[in-house]
Amino acid sequence: MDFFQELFLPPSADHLHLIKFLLMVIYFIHLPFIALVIGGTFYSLWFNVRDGGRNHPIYGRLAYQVLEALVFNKWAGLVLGVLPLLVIILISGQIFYDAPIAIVPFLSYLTIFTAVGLSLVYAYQASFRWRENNYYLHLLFGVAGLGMLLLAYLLFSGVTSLQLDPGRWFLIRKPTQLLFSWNVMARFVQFTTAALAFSGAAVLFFFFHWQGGRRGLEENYATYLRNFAMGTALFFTLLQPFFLFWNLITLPSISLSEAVFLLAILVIMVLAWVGLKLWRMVQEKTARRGVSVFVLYLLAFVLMVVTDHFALENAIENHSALLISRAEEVQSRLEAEREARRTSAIKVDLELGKKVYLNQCITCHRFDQQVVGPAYNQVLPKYLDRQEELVDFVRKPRKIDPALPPMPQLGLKESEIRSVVAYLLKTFREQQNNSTAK
Amino acid sequence: MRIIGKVIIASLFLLFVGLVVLKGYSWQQNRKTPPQPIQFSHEIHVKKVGLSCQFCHTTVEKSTFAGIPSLQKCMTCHEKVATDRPEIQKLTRFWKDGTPIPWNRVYRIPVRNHVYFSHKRHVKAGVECATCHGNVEVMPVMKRQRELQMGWCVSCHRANNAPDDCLTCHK
Repeated sequence: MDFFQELFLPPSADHLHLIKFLLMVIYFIHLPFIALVIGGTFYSLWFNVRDGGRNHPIYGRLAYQVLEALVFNKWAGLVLGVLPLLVIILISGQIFYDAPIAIVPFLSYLTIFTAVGLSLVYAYQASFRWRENNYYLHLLFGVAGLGMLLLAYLLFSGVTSLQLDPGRWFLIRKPTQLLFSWNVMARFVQFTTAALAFSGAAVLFFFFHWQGGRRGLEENYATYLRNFAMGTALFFTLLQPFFLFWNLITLPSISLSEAVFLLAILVIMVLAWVGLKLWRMVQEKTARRGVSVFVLYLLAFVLMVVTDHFALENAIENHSALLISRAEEVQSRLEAEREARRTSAIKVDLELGKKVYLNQCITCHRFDQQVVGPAYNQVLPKYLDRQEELVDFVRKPRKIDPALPPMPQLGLKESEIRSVVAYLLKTFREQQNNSTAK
Repeated sequence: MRIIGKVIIASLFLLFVGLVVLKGYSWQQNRKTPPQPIQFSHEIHVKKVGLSCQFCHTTVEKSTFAGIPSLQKCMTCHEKVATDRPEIQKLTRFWKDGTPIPWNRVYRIPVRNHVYFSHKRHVKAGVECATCHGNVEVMPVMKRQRELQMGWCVSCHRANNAPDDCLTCHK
C-alpha cells in the first residue's frame, strides 16, 4: 500500500492543527446523518415486516413515511454520506503520514461499503412504488442496505478504535483483525443504540415540529407514531450511559486525559436531561418538547465527537510531534539549500565567525585543552589545507574519536559556518606563528 | 409514578457519572509522566545533540535492564556544558553531594514479580526502541506510551514468530 503513502506530504504544525479541526467538523456532519439513515431504515423495516405487504393503515404508511423523513434523498446520501468519507481519507492520510497504520486502505473499504449500503437504502426507498408486485425483493433491498451500513460502521468503530491505540498500529494489517476488541464492540453498540435513540427524537421533530408539523395525520396514526418515537427514544437513551462507560473503560490508557473524562461526564448529563424530558413527554402524552430533545441529541453528538477528538489528540501526541519535527527539518534543509545556491550572498565575516565561536563552539572546544570535544590545536592542523572538509564537518558532524560524545548538529546558516571556519583557521595560524616567532 | 420514574432515571445517569469519576481517579493515580527531580529532556539529547540510545543506556544490549546512566556519565559533558542552566546546577549539586538522582520510574511491567523481561533479547531480535517507548527524540518530558499488557506482548510475539509459550515470560 505504499502507493497511498506517496499521495501525501508531511504536514506542518499549523496545517496539522487545521486538518484535525476540520476532521472534527466533518465527523459532526457525517455521523448524525448516518445515524438517521441506520435508525430510519431499521424502523422502516420493522414496520414493513409487521405490515407484511398487506397495506395495514398504520404500519404500511409508517414504513414509507419514517424512511422518507429520516434518509432524505439520494443527493443527501452523496453529500452527507459519501463525500465526507472521501475528505476523511485525505485528512487521515496526512494526520497518519508515515505512521505504521494501514488507515487509508481501511477507510477506503469503509467508503465502498457505505456507498453500496446507501445505494441499497435509496433503492429500498424507490421500490416502495412496486412493493405489491415483489414484496420480498423490496424488503431484501432494505435488509441488505441496513446490513451493509452496519458492517461499514462496525469497520468505522474498528478504525477509530485502532487510531487511539498506537501500540497496535503495526500489528493490525487486515480489516478482519480490526473487529475483535472490547472497545470496538463498545463503540459499535454505543453508535447503533445512539442512532436508534436519535432517530426516535428525529421522528418527533420531523413529524410534529418541523415547518409546523405534518398536516393531515389522522389522530390514531399520529398517536401511534408519537408513542412509538417517544418510547424508542427513551429506551435507547437509557442504555446510552452504560455503553458510553463501557467504551471509556476499554479505551487505551494513552488516549485518556482529564478533558476526556470531563467531556464524558458532560455527555452523560446531556443524555440525562434528554431522558428526563422524554419521560415527561411519555407521561404527558404530548410531543411538545420534541424540538429540545432533538437539539439536545445533536449537542450530545457534538460532545461525543469532541471527546473522541481529544482522545485522538492524546493518542497521537507523540506521532504528531514527530511529524512536526520532520516538517521543520525539511523546511530548514530547503532554506539551507536555497542559501547555498545563492553563493554570492554568502559572506565570510571574521567578526561573525568570532561571535559564533563564543556563542556555540566554546562550550565544548578550546584551542589548548580538551573540554567535551578535542582541543583545536590537535584537530585543526589536518584541516589547514582542506578548509572545505571542515565546512562539511561543521555542516554535518560525524563521530571521529569513539571515546568522545558526538558533536551535535548546530543548525547554523551557511554564512555562519564559513565564517566560523575562517575565524578558527585564521586564529589557529596566528597562534602558531606567534609561538614559532617566540 | 411520575416522580418515581424521574428519580430512577436521574439516579441511573448519576450512577454512571460516579463511575466515570472513579475511573478517572484510578487513571490519575497511575501517571504517565511521573514528576522527576530534574527536568531532563530526551528531545535535546537525542534530536539536538544526536546521542544514540545506547550512549547513555549502555547495558541495553547486554543485560535484561537498559540501565540509567550514572551521574559520572552526565558530568562528562555537563562539567562544562550549559552550567548556567538551573537544571544543570541541580545536577551538579547531586554530583557534589555524591547522591544518586532519585528518578521516578516511567515504565514498569504491571505484574512485575511474575514476568521475566529482557531488553537484550528484544534488541538482538531487532525490535526498535520506539516500538515500546515511542519516539523519544520528540519528547521534552518522558511519557509512558504503552501499558505493557500481556495481550499486547503476545500479539507482537505472534506477529513476529517469537515463542508464545507461557514459560517464555512466566519463568
